[in-house]
Amino acid sequence: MGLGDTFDRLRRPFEGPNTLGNSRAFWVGFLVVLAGLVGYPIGFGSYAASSAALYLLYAILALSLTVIWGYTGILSFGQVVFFGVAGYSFALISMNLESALATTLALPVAVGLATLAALVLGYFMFYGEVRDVYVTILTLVVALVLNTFMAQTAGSEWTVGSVALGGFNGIPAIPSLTFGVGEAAVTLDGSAFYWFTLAALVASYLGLRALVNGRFGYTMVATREDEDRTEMLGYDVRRVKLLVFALGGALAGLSGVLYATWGNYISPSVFGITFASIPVVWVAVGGRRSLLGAIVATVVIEWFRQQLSATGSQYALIIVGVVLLAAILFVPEGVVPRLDAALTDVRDRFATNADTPEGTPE
Amino acid sequence: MTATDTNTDTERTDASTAKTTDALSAEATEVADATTPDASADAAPDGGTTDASDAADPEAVAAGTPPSDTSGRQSPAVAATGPGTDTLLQTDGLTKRFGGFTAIDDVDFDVEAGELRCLIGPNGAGKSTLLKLITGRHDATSGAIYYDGADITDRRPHERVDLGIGMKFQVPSVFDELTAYENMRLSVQRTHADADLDEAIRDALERIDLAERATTPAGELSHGQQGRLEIGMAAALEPDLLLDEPVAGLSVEERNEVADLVTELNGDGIAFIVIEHDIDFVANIADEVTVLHGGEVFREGSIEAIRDDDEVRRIYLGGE
Repeated sequence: MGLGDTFDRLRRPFEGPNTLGNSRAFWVGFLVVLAGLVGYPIGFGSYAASSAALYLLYAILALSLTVIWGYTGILSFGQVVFFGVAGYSFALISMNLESALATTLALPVAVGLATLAALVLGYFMFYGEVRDVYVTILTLVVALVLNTFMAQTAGSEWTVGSVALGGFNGIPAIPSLTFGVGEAAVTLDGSAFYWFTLAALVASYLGLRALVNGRFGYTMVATREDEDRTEMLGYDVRRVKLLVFALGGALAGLSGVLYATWGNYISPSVFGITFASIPVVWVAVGGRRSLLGAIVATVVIEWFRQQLSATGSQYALIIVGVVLLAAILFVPEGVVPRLDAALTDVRDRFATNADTPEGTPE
Repeated sequence: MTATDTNTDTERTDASTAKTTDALSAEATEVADATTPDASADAAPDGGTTDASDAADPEAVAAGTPPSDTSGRQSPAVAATGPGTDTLLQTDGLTKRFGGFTAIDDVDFDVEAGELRCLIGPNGAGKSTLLKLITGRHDATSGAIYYDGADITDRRPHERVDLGIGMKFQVPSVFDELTAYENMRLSVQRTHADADLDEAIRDALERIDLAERATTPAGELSHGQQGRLEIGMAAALEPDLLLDEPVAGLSVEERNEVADLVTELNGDGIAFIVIEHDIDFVANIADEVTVLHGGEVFREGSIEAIRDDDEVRRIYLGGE
């Protein structure tokens, strides 16, 4: 009983009407799945873990869009901007300074630069009263401009310090994620990188659950539902949107650094229209108002895309497009919230059936 | 937090005093109405030294308005609505144009602390526009709005809410997808710490008789319940002035419930500006009536005087 109580107390800050999974059963399931994910590299080896790490780091990018779009109502195509800015920043810092300490510090600095980029872009958009679809267009344009710009940096004049930007070919040989100083530094590869990414994802997920179920989360939801109304309750909605956008920028930035260190490579294609659209697909299919939905959809879709590409199919993206259309047409709220509703429905029906015989005679 | 509370209490007391004065002497209001900001500055030169000013000053300072300008004379905002005056809100030559159309034309309008003012006028008279100018939803084309010693003409809507101006909308604009509890939470969390939040939300719902419907999505509440929730949320922000557009399409019974709630809150010291169309209804609740017509203040006075005014009747009934 004591253990159950402690468990209930621990899960309380992460629960509320703004997330799915507010039951003891959910958290038991969560811990079981988490244990499975932690054990994955042990069962399937370092190579499989390394491939899976890509899906996990993409899931952080998906979460960044979920808070902005699903919870605050701002559809941004620009998450890849902050993803790419952080990736490129990490490469330029770590490769120019070439020390373990610099590589260690490059992670927070790159995430900080992505956040700063989000703050600047967000400031001009939200304080300039840009709303709705114009935010979507503007963020997409910023991504495409960066795509075009970075793609023409092939010449030798485009070097930052000792590192060539490399134009369309991008920057190769980016160091892996490293923590520490000099000899004592640890480089995260294979399974270790997978575990680090998993930890970052779980921390982001739990942190966001606590956020959206708290004071600020209610303000975000209110802003999504009706900005003018929210303002008349005394909330500065421009500030709310800017803060959420910055948070989204930070998460996308973290994802971007992980991406650059995962493949030791980054190229302008991260700013391209294909990659810019994919987070929207993950989030729309999984359920844009569900943090869990975004993670599940990202992992499943990316795994599926990888399998198709690996077997040489050129239709991977077309199939992803069809999946998106099907989701929008048939499950507009997203697959995971629909499954959750169905599960609750079944459980309620069982509960009523079980109650009836023992209930009141009439 | 404590300072704010004390401040609010003081203002509440001021408000009820003002209300009594107002009820006793209608002429006092007339005089205040006629007084220009500069003249009232001269009339109340000691405004800055009374006890009331100590309570109100932090707010004026927080609002970024100096109590007096460099030459030692009071700013128009303080002169019009600052400590030492009973006026809570004043518009000075307020004008709003939409392209070539003048919706509000050089309106001087003011409301005393604790008063319940009805705003009437035919369709298109500018009633809603005037409220939107006061809440900041619309920017004024020219003129100024003074509130509680501060010039709020260029303030953002949310800043005006922080200063104590609340708004209740014509169409219940509660958040449909959120439950009654969550709706109320959005309002109550502005004034309460996390620890007291749950209790305060339940109290606030109790007060508007919606405690039983706490877990119902607001979109599924009846029209009258939405109206009550709307007022309850506005009142939970602890405003000194509430702008009230009546809920459209209510039954007589539901309207009476809302009216009772308005009267009750007004009794607690919250000043109201209520837009109303039904003059009999106005007679039941209002002290003073302002008639808007063609974007201008057409008449202002007691409900009896307005009801007997042939000109008012003419503009209301149109060509008949």
